[in-house]
Amino acid sequence: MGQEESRAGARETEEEVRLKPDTTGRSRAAVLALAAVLAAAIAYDLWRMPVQASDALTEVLDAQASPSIATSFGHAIGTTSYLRPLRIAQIKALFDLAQGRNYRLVYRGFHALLIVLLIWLFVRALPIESPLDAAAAAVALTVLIGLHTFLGFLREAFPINHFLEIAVLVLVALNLTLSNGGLPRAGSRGWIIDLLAGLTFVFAALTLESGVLIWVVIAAAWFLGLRGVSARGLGFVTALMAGYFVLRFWYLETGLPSLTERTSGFLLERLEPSEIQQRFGDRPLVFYAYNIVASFLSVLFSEPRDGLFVATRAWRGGDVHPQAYLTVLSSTAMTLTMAWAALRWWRGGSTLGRSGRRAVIAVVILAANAALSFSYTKDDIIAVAGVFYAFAAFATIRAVLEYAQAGGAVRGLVVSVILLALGSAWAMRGSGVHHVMNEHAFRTRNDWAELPIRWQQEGRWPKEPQPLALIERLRDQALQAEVPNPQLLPEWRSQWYGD
Amino acid sequence: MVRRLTIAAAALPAAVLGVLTAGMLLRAVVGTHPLWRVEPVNLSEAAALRDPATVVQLIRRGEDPYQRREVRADLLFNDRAELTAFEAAIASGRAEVMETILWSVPPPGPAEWNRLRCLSKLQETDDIDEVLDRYKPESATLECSSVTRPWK
Repeated sequence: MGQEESRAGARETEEEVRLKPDTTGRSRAAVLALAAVLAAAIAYDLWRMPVQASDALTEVLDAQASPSIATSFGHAIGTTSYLRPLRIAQIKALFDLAQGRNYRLVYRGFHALLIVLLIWLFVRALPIESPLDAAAAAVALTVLIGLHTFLGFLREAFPINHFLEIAVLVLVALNLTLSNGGLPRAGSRGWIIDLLAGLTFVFAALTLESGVLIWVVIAAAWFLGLRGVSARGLGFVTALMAGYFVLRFWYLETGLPSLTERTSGFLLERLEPSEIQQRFGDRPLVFYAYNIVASFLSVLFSEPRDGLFVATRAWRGGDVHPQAYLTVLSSTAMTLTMAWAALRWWRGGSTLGRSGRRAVIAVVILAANAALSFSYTKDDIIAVAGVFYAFAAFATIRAVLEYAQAGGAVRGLVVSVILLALGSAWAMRGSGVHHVMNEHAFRTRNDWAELPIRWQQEGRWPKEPQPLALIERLRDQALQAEVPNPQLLPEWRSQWYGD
Repeated sequence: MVRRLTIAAAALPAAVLGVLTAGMLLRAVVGTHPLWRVEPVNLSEAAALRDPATVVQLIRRGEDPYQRREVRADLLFNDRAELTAFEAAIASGRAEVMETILWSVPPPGPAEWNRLRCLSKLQETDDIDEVLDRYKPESATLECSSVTRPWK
């Protein structure tokens, strides 16, 4: 059956190409050019931002104290609640790579590289073979960088942004399923693809819990007929997944995060761990269900944020900034358009096209990613689903364009106005990334300025010369960074872009 | 015609974003990125603008927080003002800036400490009171009857 779906997919691809051929590849080149510009601008922002101080410094100091990458890896196994040994090992590896000097180059450079990879892999996974595809992809790119979850890829507090890393690895897996036109390869190349899928899973799962989404994307793609990763590869990754669960829950008894790990948003308030325990200690399933639903809604409507209904709270308090309207309304409009496109496809009874398959994978990833957020909800955790929301946006805009082109001039004009408004809102959101990076850089630099005072007051200031020298070096680099003061910027920027 | 119009309408906002972003990148190459342009400030202005990192940098470069400097109009008050960095921190109500300055320079003598503490009291900035109390010279006593704000 799967093979037939793959063949059906291949046939459909040929038909679509025949309809609007773009043999020169100009449409894909145009989208790649846009993606390159957007990625370069964000990479530049990252480069201007100092290495984080808050949670990052402790881990960098741990890396300094660790004798080797293997030791860092080993120490991270056997802890409770989390199994993330490769996360710590990577921080150590980059620390060693910096050779005592180039910390900003290494950590910031790696961050910028990951962002470029994310955007490139996203475009690579889009089927762009006509100007219509290119237009839909252009909107999808603004959705990718404009959605609030994308900001989690940029301002995470740790030395390496592991949520971004997982998103990149999930996109690697998606691209593997799309390889060879979504058909399994014979011979050694097929084995290599399947092996790469397995390695991607292992690397991701041992970095963060969200790494299990690699299995989700490969399995969902396989069932939809995208079988660049073969049945053998899916079996291999499934076995690795089973092994991961055995290792985590049976052999190491790592378990899951408890109810009181951290503060969490709940409806209109932020709850401290003790309050969470008090309210949900005897009925944790209610709290878990809230987190899953909140994560789901967050991607679809940009509300709630980190579990908290911030726009609703601002509206009740009579202090709504334009940014709240922009984010909630643009997300709601896009999600409703997605629902319309899905309904139209359902009623039409047609087969899933290439873009439609990506949209279905997006729905599966959203459900799985929301489920993984059960213990606490945070925009960063749901960020992989945010990337796939942009795939769904691509399929949706494509469907809207096809609908417009199948009708008369009036329909075309109405749809054009709607698309212009929707696209403008998302482009506005996308342009806000740079402002948020400005704000974050300003805060990070000030964190470094205040760090010695704070750590000395908290009794955390080290006494040994090596960590002191490292802190001074990082602090000097951060203080020397040229960062604009957001208070000297026009007020409209914070009103429209937030912080 | 309609086909081109709908495609153009969908792609136009992203294309405009791309062109503007490319422009920013070109300006970054020559060091004038519009969003990363840093406006020079003096030590008192940095303190008024809640920027402890720049405060530390300027003190490292030799600027004296006890010296009065111009704080431009609309940064802190509607009119320009002549303030020390300490006074600017009190006027803007930023305890972390006050702490950063005190941590970075020799502590004030009893008379200056008394004046700053009284200014903070006048401004009702309790968190700055706490910071100043931590840096209180042993011989200092609080006497505020003759202390007035150096700003309007």
